[in-house]
Amino acid sequence: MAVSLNGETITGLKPVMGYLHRNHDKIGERNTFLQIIPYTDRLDYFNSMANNFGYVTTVEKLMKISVAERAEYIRVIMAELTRIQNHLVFIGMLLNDLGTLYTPALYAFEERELILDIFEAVSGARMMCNYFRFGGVVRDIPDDVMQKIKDLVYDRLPAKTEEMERFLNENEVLVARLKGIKVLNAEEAVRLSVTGPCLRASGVPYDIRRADPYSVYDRFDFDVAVRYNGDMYDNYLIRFDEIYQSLRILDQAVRQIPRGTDQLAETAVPGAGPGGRGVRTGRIPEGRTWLLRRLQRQAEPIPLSRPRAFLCQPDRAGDHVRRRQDRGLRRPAGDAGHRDG
Amino acid sequence: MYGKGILKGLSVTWKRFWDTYLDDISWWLSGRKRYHSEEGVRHRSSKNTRGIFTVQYPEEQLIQPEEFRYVPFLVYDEKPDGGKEVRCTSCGICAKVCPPQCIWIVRTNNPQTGKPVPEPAEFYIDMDICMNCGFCAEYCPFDAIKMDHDFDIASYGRNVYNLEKLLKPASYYAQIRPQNYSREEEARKAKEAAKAAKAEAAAAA
Repeated sequence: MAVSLNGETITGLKPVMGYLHRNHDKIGERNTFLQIIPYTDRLDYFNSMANNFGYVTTVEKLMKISVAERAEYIRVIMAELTRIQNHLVFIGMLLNDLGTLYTPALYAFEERELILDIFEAVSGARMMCNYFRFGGVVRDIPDDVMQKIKDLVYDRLPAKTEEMERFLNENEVLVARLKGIKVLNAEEAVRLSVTGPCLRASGVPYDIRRADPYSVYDRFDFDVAVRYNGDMYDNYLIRFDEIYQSLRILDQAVRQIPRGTDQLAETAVPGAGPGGRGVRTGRIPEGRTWLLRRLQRQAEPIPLSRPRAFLCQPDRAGDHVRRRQDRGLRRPAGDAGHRDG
Repeated sequence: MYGKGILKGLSVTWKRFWDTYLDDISWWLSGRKRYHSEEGVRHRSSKNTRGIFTVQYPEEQLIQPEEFRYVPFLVYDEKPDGGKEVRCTSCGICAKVCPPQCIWIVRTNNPQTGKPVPEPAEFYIDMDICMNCGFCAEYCPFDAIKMDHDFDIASYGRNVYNLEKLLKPASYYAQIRPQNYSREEEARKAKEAAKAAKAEAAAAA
């Protein structure tokens, strides 16, 4: 908020959109690329894995880091599990706000708990996962956790999602309260640069996983969920559609995932010389907008009409490369670590 | 028929209500404990769980996976004479990689020569700032700092831990993270063997 003051009287107030309230952009100026990963968890505590994903793919593209094959699948599995639990909680919380106090929300939280068990077993934390790294993920999925993922994907989640649909989809009170409410038509949605399920519920079949596939999303067979009325009821139903599509992707991912233990590509970064100079001089503008755009679009489960905050200064890209190379974390002499070009 | 959707929805709640009791009864009939037992807690976080599956903290607790992480601690090896051999060399990597910058280290200097000794004189971690990301443990080249499993540290004051509070024996680490511990020990032994072999080769030549 830009406030104009006359003494103690506020004479003008101009909101500046696009920043998160926890100062991530300012923290990002201080931190190196690596140190920002745990902060991306905290952009949205329901989607830490998805935010990790968006951030690391941005930096990887920026710095031309290749990703281990198995890690790509692990990432997709984690991102889709995140989407499922996020959408379930969205549904539960929407109904909560409509007055079905806590019953559907807690049904959603049951499934979420089981998914968070998986996150905890692989990453060490239920919500602030900090699981992704440039070039891969922190550790491999153990066999017993993989079995649990399969159990959930094949046995439990489809049945539970159907049960959730049966629970309230046809409820006359709910339908009366959602149908035709807050209609957002396609033109309006595009004009307001709405992304995510809200956009697709307005009849625009735009999904970044299909339109500009990152990671290995081009290898999976899935439909872009779309609904056409743009009202609250379609916004509610499209979450179910997306859960079913996520389950389809998960089914293919757990079948196709290559075996092996190499979950982190230890490759050095081609193209970036000592100190990541190539990155710094050539790609700052692109990288900056790209980071911005990527973070905005990646945050698919929760639609944002405005870009999220800048997360880091691209001119510190070199730090991470050096750190990776000599785990000594020393900054070479003569490099103060701030802008010099 | 108007109201059909409501009835359909209510059947879901009704089923869930009975599932809780049915599960309790079937566990009771088979003589197993569904509550306050490890088996019961495991069942309640498996895919087959039905009805209510609340874990009644603090009477019962979720089973922590090995990788669970909460606030860091420092590892020391127990010497045969009972002394502590602190693994930390006060190199400061953890302090540099720490995203919220909550680690302070003071190095030890040899009083005669004034040169640094690889051992921390003071080591503080502000647990109120620590975000439990685990980078310090991930990047420590000496396996000296590790993430703990002990999560109930709430207190009325500030939780700034000093060296004394941070140090925990390697046996504790082996107990909470057996797989990681054995993997690291193996790597260390292999490294030492390679070093010894190299020294031998150098001596022979």
